[in-house]
Amino acid sequence: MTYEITNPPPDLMVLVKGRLDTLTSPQLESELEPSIAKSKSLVLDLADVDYLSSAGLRLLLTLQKRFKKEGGSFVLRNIQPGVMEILRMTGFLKILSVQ
Amino acid sequence: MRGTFQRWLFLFVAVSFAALFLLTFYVQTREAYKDAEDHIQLRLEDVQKQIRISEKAALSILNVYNASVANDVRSVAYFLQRCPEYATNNFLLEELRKCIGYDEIHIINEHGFIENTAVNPMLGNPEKYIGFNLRLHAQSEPFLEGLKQSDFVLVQPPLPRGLDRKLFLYSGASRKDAPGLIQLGAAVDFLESSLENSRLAQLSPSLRVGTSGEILICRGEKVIGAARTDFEGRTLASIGFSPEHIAAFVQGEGEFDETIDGIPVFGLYMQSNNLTLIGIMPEFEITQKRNGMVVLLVATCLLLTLVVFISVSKLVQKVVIDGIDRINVSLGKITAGNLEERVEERGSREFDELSGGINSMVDALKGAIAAEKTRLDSELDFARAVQASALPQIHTDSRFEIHASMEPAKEVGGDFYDFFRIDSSRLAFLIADVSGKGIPAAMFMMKAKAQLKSSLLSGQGRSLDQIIAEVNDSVCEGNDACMFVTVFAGILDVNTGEMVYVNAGHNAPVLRKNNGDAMWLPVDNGFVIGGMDGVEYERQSIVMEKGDGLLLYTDGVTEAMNKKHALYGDDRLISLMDGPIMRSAPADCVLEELKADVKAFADGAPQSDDITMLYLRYLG
Repeated sequence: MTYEITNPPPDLMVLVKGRLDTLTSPQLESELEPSIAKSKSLVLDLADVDYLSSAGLRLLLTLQKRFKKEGGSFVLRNIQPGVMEILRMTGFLKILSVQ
Repeated sequence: MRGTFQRWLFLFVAVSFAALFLLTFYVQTREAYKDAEDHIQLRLEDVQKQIRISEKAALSILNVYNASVANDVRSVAYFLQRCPEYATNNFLLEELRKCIGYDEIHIINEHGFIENTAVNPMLGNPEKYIGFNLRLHAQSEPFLEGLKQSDFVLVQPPLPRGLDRKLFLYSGASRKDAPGLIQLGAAVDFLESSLENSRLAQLSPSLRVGTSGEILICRGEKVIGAARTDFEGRTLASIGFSPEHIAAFVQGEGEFDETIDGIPVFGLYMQSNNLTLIGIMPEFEITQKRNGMVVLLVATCLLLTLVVFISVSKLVQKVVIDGIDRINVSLGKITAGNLEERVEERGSREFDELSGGINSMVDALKGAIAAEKTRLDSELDFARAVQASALPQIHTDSRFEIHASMEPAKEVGGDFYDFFRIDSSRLAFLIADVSGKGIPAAMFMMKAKAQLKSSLLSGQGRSLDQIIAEVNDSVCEGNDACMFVTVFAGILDVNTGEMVYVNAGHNAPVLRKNNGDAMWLPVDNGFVIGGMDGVEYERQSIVMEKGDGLLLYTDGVTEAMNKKHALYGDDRLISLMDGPIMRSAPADCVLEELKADVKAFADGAPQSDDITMLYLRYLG
């Protein structure tokens, strides 16, 4: 997994590439933490993410709760079909904003 | 570390050489001025000595001249004794004067009065000397002694005379023919100037000091001798000496700094025989040698700095930094988890000790980890046993049969299932998958499982969707770690075959129709349990017919991987379930078939997730 910050805080945009699994999700979370702390909105571009494990779902849930609590916005975009299926099946589409 | 070391090394070397440079510059400057001073002093003394020698030579020339003058005057006395008419005859006396080449001849009587005279017409009228009384003048008075002695001869030193103050030399002798005196007078300007000229002519080649310095010989403020001919005859002020220096020059000796023709010079001065000697040397000549020395020193210092800096930093790199770098690489591997890495940096006692220390520390760590792992393994085995014992496996009835199996992965997983009767007609069953693995997942699973069971058992009067929403709210409480669980839960009325179900983010079960194909059970994709409170769920229902089966499973089945990292997948699952064998097979056989197919697919690839499945068959 690699990532690239395409727009700095406070309107943070991050392009994520690779798998979001048990190993990479906590890594992404901790590395993005300083930027997220300064942001009021976050857009995660998942165009290059082809796999999302339950740890990845947990990361999305954590981010969703956090931005909701602080009145910010958290949006996912460019979701691949496989990942979209996981989000659909687990009901995550019901709580997440997707472009 | 290397950068820090190099910075300090560079600073140290640079400061040392800067100090050396400044010290050398200072010492060389002092030496240069001292050398110049010594040199000028020696030259001044040489010139002084030569002036003295010249003075001495001039004095002896003067003595010879005086002796010849004494001879002349004595000879004239003898001549007049023989030819007394020359003393009385004015014309003859003039002839005599011309003949001997003197400017004046005076004949003085026994009373000291000039009674006859012959004078060079260029110098004036002889008449004014007649009757001149020698007693009346200090200069001529000494000659009166000749009136008392018969062999008196006197040659006076040259004295300035008249308005033009030209030097004039008088000599006198007592007369032999009669009482009285003879006096000869001669202008001797030529003598003085030729003496001085010969003196300076001798000296001028030796008036150079160094290559561009020189010695000025001054009488009063006037330069009478110098290496530079254009200085000769000029006053010191016109050359460029300041009035206070000029005032000091006549006093004695000392040193001074002055600017002549725009060039700074250093100089010494001294007195010699009423002359002032001034030695000067341009400062550029004084500092020339020092500058050469300094340039050489700077070049040597720079070269040395470079050599010292490069060699010391290379040495430190080789002896210390490379070793530390290699140790750091090993430490990096150890930190990354490779406890088999050994640090083998030898070559010095310190590195031996460091390597040994790290190796023993890693060994101790390995021992501790192994011990901890043994303890953890036994605890995990225990946890797995507890987990497994909490799960029922078979439940059969005349109206239905239900079988379930769970093959845990190596790590304690979060899959679980459950089934139990709510009352005499209703059977509750469920399957769930907790996000994450390990002890936290297992604990969360226990909590969710207990909550589901207690809510389903006490759910009289409430619909299944309400019960699941209640479980969700309850599980969400205090769930700071954001763990969640996907659940499929159903309640079968064993009398009517109606099955009510709610899906909370779980995989859709497979419905195996006894009279048709295998198909996905239509499910609403409700949100997972534990993710967010206040979520609502949708209740769905179907009626199961005799022989219909329902397969519940977790993603451990559909995401089982083979060695090529391919997934087992939904398609393979549905096509297996669609097979004719599955149509009327007992529940345990269906599960065995499925497990065997997953195992065959995996082909020895390690199992990464719990493989959990539950099959409910309605017997009518």
